[in-house]
Amino acid sequence: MDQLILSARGATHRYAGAGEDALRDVDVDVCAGELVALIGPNGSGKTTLVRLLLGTLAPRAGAVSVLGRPSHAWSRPAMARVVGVVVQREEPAFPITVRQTVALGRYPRRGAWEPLGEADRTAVDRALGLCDVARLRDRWVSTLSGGEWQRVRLARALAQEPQALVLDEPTANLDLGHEMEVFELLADLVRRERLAGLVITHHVNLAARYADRLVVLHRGRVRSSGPPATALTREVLQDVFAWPVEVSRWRDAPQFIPLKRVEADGGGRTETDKTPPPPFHQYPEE
Amino acid sequence: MRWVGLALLAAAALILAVVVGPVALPLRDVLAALGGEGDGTVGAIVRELRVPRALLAFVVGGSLAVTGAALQALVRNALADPYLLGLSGGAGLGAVAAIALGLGGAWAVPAAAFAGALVAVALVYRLALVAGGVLEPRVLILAGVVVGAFAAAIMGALMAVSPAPQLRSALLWLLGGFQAASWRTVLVFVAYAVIPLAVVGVSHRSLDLLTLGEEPAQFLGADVGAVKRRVYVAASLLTAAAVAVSGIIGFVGLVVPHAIRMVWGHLHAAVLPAAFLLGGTLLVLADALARTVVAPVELPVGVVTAILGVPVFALLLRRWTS
Amino acid sequence: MLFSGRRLAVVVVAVAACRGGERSSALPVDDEGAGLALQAPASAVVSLSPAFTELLFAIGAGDRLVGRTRWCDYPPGVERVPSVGDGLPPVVEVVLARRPDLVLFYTSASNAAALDQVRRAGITAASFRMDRLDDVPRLARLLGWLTGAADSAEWVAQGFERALDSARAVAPAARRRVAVVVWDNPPIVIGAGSFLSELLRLAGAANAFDDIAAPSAQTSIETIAARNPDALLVLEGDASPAFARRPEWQLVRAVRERRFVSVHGSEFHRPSPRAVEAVRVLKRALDTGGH
Repeated sequence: MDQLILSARGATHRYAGAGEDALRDVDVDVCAGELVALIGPNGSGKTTLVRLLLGTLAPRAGAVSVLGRPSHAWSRPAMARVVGVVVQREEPAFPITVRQTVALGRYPRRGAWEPLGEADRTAVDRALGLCDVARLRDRWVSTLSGGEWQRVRLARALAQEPQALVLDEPTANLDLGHEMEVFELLADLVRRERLAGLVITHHVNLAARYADRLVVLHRGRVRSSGPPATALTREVLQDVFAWPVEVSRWRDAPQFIPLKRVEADGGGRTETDKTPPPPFHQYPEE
Repeated sequence: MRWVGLALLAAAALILAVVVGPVALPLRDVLAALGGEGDGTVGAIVRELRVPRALLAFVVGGSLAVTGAALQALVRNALADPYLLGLSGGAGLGAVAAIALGLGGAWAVPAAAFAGALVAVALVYRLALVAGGVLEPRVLILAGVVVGAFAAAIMGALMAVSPAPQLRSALLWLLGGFQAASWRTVLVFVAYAVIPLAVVGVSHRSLDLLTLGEEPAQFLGADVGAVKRRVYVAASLLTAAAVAVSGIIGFVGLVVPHAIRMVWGHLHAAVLPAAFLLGGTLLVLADALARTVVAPVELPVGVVTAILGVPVFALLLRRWTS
Repeated sequence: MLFSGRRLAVVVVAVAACRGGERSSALPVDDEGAGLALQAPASAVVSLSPAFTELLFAIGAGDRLVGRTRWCDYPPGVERVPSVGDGLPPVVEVVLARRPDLVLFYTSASNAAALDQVRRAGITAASFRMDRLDDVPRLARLLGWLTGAADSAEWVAQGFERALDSARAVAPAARRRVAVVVWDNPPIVIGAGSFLSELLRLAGAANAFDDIAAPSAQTSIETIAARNPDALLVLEGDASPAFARRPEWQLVRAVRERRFVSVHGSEFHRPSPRAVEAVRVLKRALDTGGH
């Protein structure tokens, strides 16, 4: 059994002044060497769950822990040595180069007055290499493309030499090629470095292809969890996202095609589109 | 060897500030006076007036620059300066109130300015908290503007009902100057400023991280709430003391950190000490200029820093946006 | 003028007597309560107010002056005394460079730091207020004692007091109300705390703003218009001041009807031994004036 890094048991939380729970009775495990994708509509509690796991929020009930210790018992520097986080949006206030950015990831491991040591330089170079941004090392981050910036931040998280990686919507605002790159890289890193990976994403299909397990949240509760094939079914998605979908398949991973409402409803509305509906359940040739 | 250059510049500025002044003193006599001998009057001028004044200008300039750099990181805004905390209004109000009430004693005005500054800071802090979020930068800036404007309005009212001499002295005080410098002032300021400066200095790593944003900083190990609080308090104390001692001197806290970052990069381990040296140097030079350019009349130092600061700032802007 | 113990005693007693007979310490104090201790009469004086400069010359101690402000303009010959710049506040370095043994400050909070610095350099610094006519003989005596010109100072003081008494005796009842507007934007008028108000009273006019205790105060055009003075006193000698042409000032009847009384001369800028003569000039201007 791989080491359990991030864990939530019956996690429950309600924000002050809110009428209902943001998160109710949620169980999530992320072990070393596996990539877990957290899926759900806006407001389903994904961000809350991550905040609880990372200790920036304390749960009203239940237990959240990192390496067996309650999350909010960790000091921030100690937490930063275990978990590398890539937040959704980040814009440095002052000009900074790629290398300097990644070097900041070494802060949790450096004493307050320690200069950059050999170990630090090695870790930075390694991280740059793993994320394939070594050739960008002296560029100002403001000159990077969205995908490059994403990979640089991932490199920074890796420079922390963490045991877990948490990414919040890493592919928002990225084009197709960059999206694929990020997920490829992520899956690769998790496997190679035996990291525990947790990624929040709206990209259901990519999650289904790359994640080892999925957790689907709906209104603060876990709607389903497990490997993509079992966790993601047509019923689950239609229920959670309130949108009709058809499921296809790509190499063992379910892939979902969102439908126009008119097609799924059948009668109901005037059909203006005369093209015949696409064939369903087609398995493309490999 | 930028550090050597900067240190030499600072030393040169200090020497210049002691050697020149509204009264032309022969260099020989100045040096003799520094050594402790020589003519009584020259000695008094050099040892009791010029030297403490140069030292005070240096530490005040350094403190303002360090505060500016720290606040720019704290609110993630390159246009932040020490006065954004709203305390220039509070300090001005305290000082003008003391002048209007005719409070006597050489320490009445500085003490009142200091008290006014801290009240303003507390108000801004309270306002920022009420608006939700602990020291959220945008709210902080807005609250600072509001409190500053409020204080300035009351200050204006006080000045309007004051007789002319009080009015003039209040205005002159506001524009800033080191005329009241004495050895006692220097020692009090230095003894007081050491702790806030140390607090800011020790937080240099966290400031580096804060410039990325609060969330990334937190996940890279910074205790964001605690850092913001202690840097805010230290910055307030430093600026309040600087204003109490020498009025409102602008541009140093705004421009010096930028100039430093262009040469030393953005890591605060280098930016903070370099800013201190450059800020001190600049203010000493500005004060020397203020004392000599239209001697025997003295220009307020704040005027000189503004006149010098605006073109420098324009230059920086151009480089920054290109 | 030689300094002698007996004369000192006379002056000290005289000064004490002027204070309504209080038997306080023999050491006189300045207007901020600081004791004035001098080893010997001052022979190198820096005066930081035109009023003190003029008074020093009047009591025959002008030769002791080694520094004056750039605003000191009386008596003729004062230019020969080197200027130290502004007096409020002064540049201490320049004052010290004159090597004085006495520095005379005008009482004001903005001089607090400079006073301190001069004292710390081991030089006697005294702070005096000179706003009203009674300050003239009072300060004449004090300055006389400080500079060893006590006898002539006493003579000047008594002469002034006599002249002032007779001027008060023959002062006509106030027939007109006059306002003294010294600045137009914002409008600043002279109040009862200023010697100008006293001059007006002695010349037979009432200060339209004598309910203001301070020497001067900021007011509004409306207030001046509401008080409707019979004339405006103009101190710069212009037949009619520049602000009189502005439309908003036409609200004031005296401006509309060009009722200006103009005088010029530095005796109207400060209380001085020339005050009684100034009353005569003012009276003449009031009688002939109005335009």
